[in-house]
Order: sequence, then C-alpha cells, then structure tokens
Amino acid sequence: MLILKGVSKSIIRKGLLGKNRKSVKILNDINFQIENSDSIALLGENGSGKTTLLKIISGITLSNSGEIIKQEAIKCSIVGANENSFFQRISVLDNLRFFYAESPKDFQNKVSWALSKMGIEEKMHQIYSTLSSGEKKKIAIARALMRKTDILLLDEVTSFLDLKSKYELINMLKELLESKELKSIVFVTHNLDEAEALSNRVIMLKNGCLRLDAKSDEIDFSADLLEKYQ
Amino acid sequence: MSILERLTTIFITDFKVALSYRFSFISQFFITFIQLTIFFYISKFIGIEFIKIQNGTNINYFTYVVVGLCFIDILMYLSTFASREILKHKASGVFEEIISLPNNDIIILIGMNLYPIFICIIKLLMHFIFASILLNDFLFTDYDLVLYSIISTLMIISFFSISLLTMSYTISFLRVGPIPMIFVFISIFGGGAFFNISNAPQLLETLGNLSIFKHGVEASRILAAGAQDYAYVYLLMYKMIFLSIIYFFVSLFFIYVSLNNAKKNGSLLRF
Repeated sequence: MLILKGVSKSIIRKGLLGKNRKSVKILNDINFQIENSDSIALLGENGSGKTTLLKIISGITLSNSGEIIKQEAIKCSIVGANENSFFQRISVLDNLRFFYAESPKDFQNKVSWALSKMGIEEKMHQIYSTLSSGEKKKIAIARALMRKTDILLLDEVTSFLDLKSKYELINMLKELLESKELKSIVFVTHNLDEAEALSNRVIMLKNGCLRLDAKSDEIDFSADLLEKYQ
Repeated sequence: MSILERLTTIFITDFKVALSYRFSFISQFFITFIQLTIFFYISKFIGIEFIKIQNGTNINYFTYVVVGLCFIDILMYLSTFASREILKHKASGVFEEIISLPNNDIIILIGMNLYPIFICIIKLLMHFIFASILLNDFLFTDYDLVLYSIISTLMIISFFSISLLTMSYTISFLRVGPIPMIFVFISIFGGGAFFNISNAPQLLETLGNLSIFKHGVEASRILAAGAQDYAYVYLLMYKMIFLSIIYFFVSLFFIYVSLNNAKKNGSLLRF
C-alpha cells in the first residue's frame, strides 16, 4: 500500500555564527511498507529519527534519497504532540474551517461527524486556547479525520494525557481502524503498554537505522524490549 | 477547496484573529489620526506654506507630507506583516499544517497578504478622510480621485510584491531581514517621502527611479495640488505599471525558489 524504499535524510548543522557546517544523518536507508489495517508502533530513543520519518511519510519534508511509493491515492496526515498548531484565539469551528481541505459545502456535516467521533461535539464553539490538553489532542485528530485521511501518523499524541483520556483515545483509534474509516495508523510512543494495546506491528529505530520490524504478537513487550534492540 | 475559497478562508481567519486583539485592532487606526494631527501642527509651526514639486507646481506642505506619510505607513505595514506571521506560525507549528494543505503553497502565501492589504486600504481611506478634515477641504476630487485610486492600487500591488520578497527571505533565513528597511530607506531618501529630493545624490535618485514609490507619490502630489498635468501623471502611471509587473514576477520567482529549498531542508518545520 505505501512502500518506503531506501529513505535517507540528512541535515546541515551550523556552529556558532554559521561556522563549522556539517552534515548530520537523521535517517539511513529505511525500508518497510505500510499495509492496509496496519497499526504500527514506532519506537526508539530520543533523536533516533521517528518524527522525521513521520514528516517524510506525510510529505511535509522531503528525503534526500530513496522513495516513497504509493500504490493508490493515499492521504497521510500527521498529528503531533504539539498542541499549539492551531490559532489560539479563535473557536474550534473556525480553526477546523481554516484547515479543512474539501469543498466548504459539506464542511458542517464533516465537522459534526469528526468531533462526535472524538466525543467533543459540544466544544465546537469554544475558543481553542480554553480547551484542556486532552481535548486539544482530540481536536487535532478530528482535523486529520476531516481530511479524508487514509494513514494517520501520530507523534506521541498520548503524552501528558491522563490514563482515562489515554485509553479513551486508544479505543477511539481502534474503532476507527475496525470501521475502516482509517486504513492504517503509525504511532510514535515511548510507552510499551500503549504499543501493546494498539499495535499489530512494531518498528524500532536506532540512530536513524531500522533495528526491528516485527509483528506485535511475536514480541515480548517487557521492559527490556528497548534495551534488547538498542 | 478552490483557490478562491481557500483565499477567502485565509482572509476571514486572519481577520478574526486580528479582531480578537480588540485594543490593538482599533488603536492602529486611532494612531493614524494622531500622526496626521501632529504633522499638521508641526507643518504650521515650522511655517513652510508651500513646497515646489517635480513639475514645478506649488503644493501645501501638509498635503505634500500626508501623501508620503500615508504610503510609507502602508509600505512598512504590508511588507513586514506576512513575514512576521510566518515566523509566529513556524514557532507554534501552524506553518507545518498550512503547508500540508492540498492547495498550492504559493497561493497560501499570497493569501496571507490579503488581510494586511485590506487594512492598508482602510488606512489609505483614513488618511484621506482625516487629512481632508484637518485641511477643511478634500485632498482629491472627481477625476483626480479616480486616478488616485488607481495609483494607490498600483502602490499596494508593488508593496505586496515587496512583501513576497520579504517572505522569501524569511523562509530562507528565518528572520524578517533587511528587505523592508532597504525599501523604506530608498523611498524616504530616493523617493522623496517627506522632503524634496532635487539635491539628493545621483545614486539615491537612480534607486528612487527604480522604486514605484517615487512615481506614485509624485503623481499623487500633482493630483493633490490640482495641477491637472494629466500627461505627466499618465507617464508616471505607465512607469508604475511596468515596474509593478517586474516586481511581481521577480518576487514570485524568489518565493518559489525559497519554498522549494525550505521543503528540502525542512527548515520551516517546528523542529
């Protein structure tokens, strides 16, 4: 469905006053594919290239080499841990209208559908900055759903959420996958319980290289999982 | 979403965000009135009644300054607004979302200039109304008003192109940069925004001739003086149209190049 073939990415890091420029490799020859109904947990240490990989898959940044092959027209949307990627001083409805990509005629139906899926329809007219962290994350996922997303890319969306909100969110994502409203999910997490609960596949990165690509039921999600492959 | 629908959505959102800062939204127009009143009394205080403009006509000094002040005001506002927005949006992560929208990125960047253009039109009207109140007479009437509207439109188009150039600099170097200041400098010292530049150094005069500002203020002042030298005004307008087209395409080229580079480097992303 979506194939990553030899994807590499490096960036130029500058020293003080723009001196000592050097190229730093963020991702190195990444190869894997995302199938329909995949729910992939992307694991790895800080700085291992997980967020960059999601951004390359979503298309908001480009790789230096390699290619991403889409076998059909697939839309990928990324939802990050950052809650500030909205206009803070206008309502949720106005924000969603701004980021909406389809014809404005069916906007009202779409917004009601997406917010009700997330269980926050009553927050529609509230000013964005007055929402709680959990509600903001749900709004971000609703924004991605409204874009007719096929592959949802989640970058540590459950961080800073309380347990109840975290499991509510995981259940909602499972429902979306089961009801085929989403084709696949790729999510970055540092929480192994969460990875076990939501994933059917695990991919692990270390220093920009692929270390593990295995089915979840073949893996022992114990505390030494990370140490074993790092 | 069509291009027109996208542009409308961007404008409405920017307008609603600006309106949410009620005090600064209202005060920006109030400041125009204070600025003009101060200039009105300064021009009375220094006692210069008339000043000679390029085609030899005498013009009231306050009218002379108002025309320059008005265009400098909108040049500074329009050329920096969208670039500051880009930096703000980059820091918050909104820009990542904006460039992942399915519309063409350049259309979205053009759309970010619609709100400041709207404010500039209101500022132009404010300057015209307040100056007319202070002078107790209309600055422009009848056909002159129509010509002044066309000149103002051409000025806004050129300032919009300068804004696109500034945006391309911001996208490449992640700061607003010197472009607006260079154009303001050329407009004041080479374009005669506030004083007669007949004795200015040759270099400044040449630079002034390349800026639309000089031709715009000159034409507006001839109209405000009621000189009815339409042949000269038309000549200045042709120069403005020619320069506007060049400015627009040059700025489009730079924004295209800087956007492509930024996408490759990932420099517009939050991290």
